[in-house]
This record gives sequence, structure tokens and C-alpha cells, in this order.
Amino acid sequence: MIAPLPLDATSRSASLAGALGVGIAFGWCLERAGLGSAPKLMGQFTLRDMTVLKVMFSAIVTAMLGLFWLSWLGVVDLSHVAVPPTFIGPQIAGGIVFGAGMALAGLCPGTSCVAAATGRLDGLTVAAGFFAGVLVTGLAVPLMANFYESGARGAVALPTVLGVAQGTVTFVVAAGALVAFALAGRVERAMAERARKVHS
Amino acid sequence: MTDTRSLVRGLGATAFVLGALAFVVGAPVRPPHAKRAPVVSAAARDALDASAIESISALQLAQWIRDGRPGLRVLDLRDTAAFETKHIPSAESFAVAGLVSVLPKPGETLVVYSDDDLRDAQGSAWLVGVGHARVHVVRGGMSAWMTEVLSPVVQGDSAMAVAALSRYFGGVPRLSSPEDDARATPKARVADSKEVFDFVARRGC
Repeated sequence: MIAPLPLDATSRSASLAGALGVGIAFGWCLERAGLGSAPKLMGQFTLRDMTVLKVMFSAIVTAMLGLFWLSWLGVVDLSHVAVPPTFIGPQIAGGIVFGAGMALAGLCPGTSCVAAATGRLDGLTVAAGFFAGVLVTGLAVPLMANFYESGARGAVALPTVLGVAQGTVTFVVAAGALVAFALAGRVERAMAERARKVHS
Repeated sequence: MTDTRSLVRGLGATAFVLGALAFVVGAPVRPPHAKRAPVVSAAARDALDASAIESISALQLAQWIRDGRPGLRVLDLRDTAAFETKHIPSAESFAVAGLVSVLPKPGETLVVYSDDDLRDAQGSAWLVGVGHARVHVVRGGMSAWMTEVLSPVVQGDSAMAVAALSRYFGGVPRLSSPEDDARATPKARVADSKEVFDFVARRGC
């Protein structure tokens, strides 16, 4: 069950309809932020355009603060929020493959769907590529079962690992985001100034 | 432009204030008796009986953790040094006296374990006494986890499921006990290992 949408047999259709609505809204936000454009995403790697960091960090902080306070107010039951289990080695390997793919393609799975929905050929290509990757990986799981299930740590979260209150982690992440936004603005201005000097 | 900048600054300030308040509040729950430690009332003590606390096997707990049972919370009642050395994945370390901070929450399932039956009994009795509806004790504690989950002897119809569960937690399922292993030839041990691996490898995707 994923809070706040109860995914049980009686309300399955409503939950899936809700999930579709959330997905469309998420895609719309990504598109409006310009993240359906590969050059925009590549600007993050070259430090010329920090939009990705700002958008994603904003989303993380909004979700984190929203869930914390909605739970505190009794609106959302956090015990119904699924926490994916941790597998150290496999997830590090997956992160490396994901990062390399994103740097090469200029798009991640979510933004490639957005790009494909707006008719961009590169988006369609990347989306086809990751669907193929999902299929191949799924078929290969039995061959690498040992590695796939190695380093299991169960469903862990930062407050448990660090031994601090959830509110402390929430505050540190929110404050860290604000500092990151300020630094990102400075980096963008410095890179723009440098580009102007090179061209003049 | 100025309006946008003002809006961004306003949102940033709001995020900071909400984050700072989260730091002050600590937990994302509003406990009914947050200002004072919960006390086991006489009525609660009367309500405490053997049926309120169920014991479960280490395998059952492993299954709950793997399946992401909603509201599951695992509490390790051993000392900190033992917890640091090894503990059940997702477990939180608590002294029995520290359980005062574990407040009842709807839909929560608490599982306690240690290597001491008395400590298990004290901890689980306290939790039930302060109003936790679902409290379980792991039979055999950490030792049972080591033998039943991380190094299980798999036999019979459940062998494949137990082997897969054990592998999920990084365990090494065996087809014979350590005593039998000591008597077996190295070749036989390799054959056993391969057979256990095949249980897992045949799993569909």
C-alpha cells in the first residue's frame, strides 16, 4: 500500500486513476521546468545550467516536508509509505549504469518519457532503450541471482542509520537544499561570466 | 522578475521554517502524551496476559521484513555493543528502559528480540502495557536469526522458499547440519551447495 492512496482490491481502479493523474502532473511539471530537453540536462553536467538540481531538490524537500507535516497532522500514515529495500552492491552497480546512461543520452527515464510525449525523437529513442534494458535485466535476473540479492539491508531510512530523529534529517535536508540553491546560482553566474569572456 | 524573486525567497523561507519546526518536533507523529513518559496503569497490567504477546519464528520475521509488512518495527533489546556487531536488518537498538520513547501508533507491529528471555518478556510486557496492540517476540532471538535465517538447514517442501529467504538476507542455506558437514567429504559439500543454489536459480523473474 502506498499512502495516501490505498491500493487494495476495492479501490484499485481509483488508486490507479489517481496514480495516472499524479504521473501526468509530474510529467507536466518536468516539461514546464524544461527537463524534456537533453541539452538542458547536459547543462547540469557542465555546470552551465543547474535547473535539474533545483527542480529535483525542490521536489525532494517539498515531498519530505509535506509527508512529515501531513503525518504529524494525522492526514497521512507513514507506515503505509513503501520504503524500497536496500541492496548495497547491486544498487551501487545500478547507480553507475544509470548515471553513465543518463550522461550519454542526456535524459533519464522520467524525462525521456516527457521528451517522447512532446514528440522528440531523442526522447523516443531513449525511452525505447530503457524499456529494452528493463526487459533484458528482468530476463537476466535468474542468471545473476546471487549478486542481485547480495548486500540486503532491508528497508532502512536515514534516521535509523544515523540514529537521529526524523525531524533532524528533515531539517538538515531542507537547509542543505537552500544552501545548494544559493551555491547553484553563484556557479551559474560564474559560468555565464566565463563564457562571456571567452566569446568577447 | 522582482515578483518571482520574492516568491522564490518566500518559498525558501517557508521551507526553512517548516524544516526548523520539524527539528524541534522531532517525530512526524503527535503523541497524545508526548510531554510525559507513558506509565503502565493498573488496568493495563491487568489486561496484560500471555495472549497479548505472540512469539514468532525468526523465519516469520524475515518474511515480514522481505515483504515490507506495513507498520513493522523491529526492536533489538541487546546492549549497544552486541547490536553494533550484528543485528537483524532494519532493527533499532533500544535498552528496555529506553522503550518509554516508543509510543503507540495505529497500524504498527512491534517485534522485539534479544538473547535473553527475561529481557524479551520485560520489553514486550512494557510495550503491551502502554497500549501497543501488536507486539511479537522472536523465539530464540538473535541466535535463532543466525541459525534459522542466515544458516538454515533446508529440507522438505519449504526448502526452496527458505533457501530463497536466506539468500535474500545474505545467508548460506545448507542441506545438512554443521555436524553432518563435518563428517561429509569436501566433494559432497560442494554438491550440496550447488543443489541449494539451484533452488534459487530456478526462481522465475
